[in-house]
Amino acid sequence: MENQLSYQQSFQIIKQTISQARMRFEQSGLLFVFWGLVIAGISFGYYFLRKSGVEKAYLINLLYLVAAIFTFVYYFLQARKKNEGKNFLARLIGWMWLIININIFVSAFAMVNLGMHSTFVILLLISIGYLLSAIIVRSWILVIASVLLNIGSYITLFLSTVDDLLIFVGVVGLVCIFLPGVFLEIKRRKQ
Amino acid sequence: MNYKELNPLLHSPVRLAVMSYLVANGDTDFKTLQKELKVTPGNLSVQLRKLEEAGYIKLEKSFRGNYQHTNVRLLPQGLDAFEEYVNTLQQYISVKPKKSDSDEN
Repeated sequence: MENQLSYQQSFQIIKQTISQARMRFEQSGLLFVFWGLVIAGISFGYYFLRKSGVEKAYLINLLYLVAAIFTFVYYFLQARKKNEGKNFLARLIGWMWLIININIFVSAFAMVNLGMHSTFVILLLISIGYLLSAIIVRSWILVIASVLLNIGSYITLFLSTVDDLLIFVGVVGLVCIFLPGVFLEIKRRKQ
Repeated sequence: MNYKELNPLLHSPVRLAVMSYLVANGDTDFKTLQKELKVTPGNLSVQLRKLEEAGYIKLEKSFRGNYQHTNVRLLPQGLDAFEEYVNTLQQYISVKPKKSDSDEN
C-alpha cells in the first residue's frame, strides 16, 4: 500500500532536512579538539605521573569531571543563545550525550570500585554516541572516526597493563577525536 | 492575513530542485546535479549562475586530469533563503478556508 504523507508530515520532513543541513554548517570542531586534548592530556599525564612515582596519580582523572561540567555549561549557554531548543535534532543529540555521560560516570565509578578496568565501557559508550551523532549530522569524517573509536574500544580488552591502556587511550583521543575536530574546524572556517 | 511573497529566485523549478538537492545531500558537482535533475548542461549552467550571483551557492572550478570539474557548494545564505521559502509556502498551505468559502464549493 502506498504510504501517503499529509502536508504537515511533508513539511516536517523538509524542516528536519533543513535542520540537518544547518547543523552541518554550524558543526564546530572545537568540542572535538577540546575533548581530544582532554583525553590525550589526562591519559599521557596519568602515565607520566605513574612513571614518576607520584602518589594518588589517579586523581588526575577528576579532570574528566571538570571537563564534562565545563562542556555542559558552555554548550547549554550556547544552545540558549542560538535558540537551539526549537531544533529537534540538536535537542535529540543533547539528550543522547547527557544520558551517555551519566552512564559513563556511573559505570566508571562502579567498575573502579569493583576492581575492574572501565576503559572498554567508556570508549564503547562514547563511540556509540559519536557514531549516532555523526550519522544524524551526516558527517563522514566523524562516522569513520567513530567506527575507529568503536574498534579501539574492543582493542582495550586485549591490553593487560595500565600503562598500555593509558598510552592507547591517549593515542585514540588524538587520532579519533582531536584530528577530526581540527579537520571540521578548518572546513567550517573555510565556509 | 498578510502573505509574504515567495522568493522569485527559488520559484523556478530547476533552481528550486538544485537548492533542494543541496540541502538534502550536501555539496555536489555539476555532473551529478545534471544527472539527478535531468536537465541540459546549458540550462543548469544558467540557473547555477543565477543562484551564485544571489550568494546562495558557490561554484568552485578545478581540473581533474584534462577535464574541468565544477563543485557546487551550498552557502549559509542559500540555506536561509530555502528555509524562508519553505516557511512561506507552509504559511500559504496551512490557511484554513473560511466557512463561507467552503460552502460555496
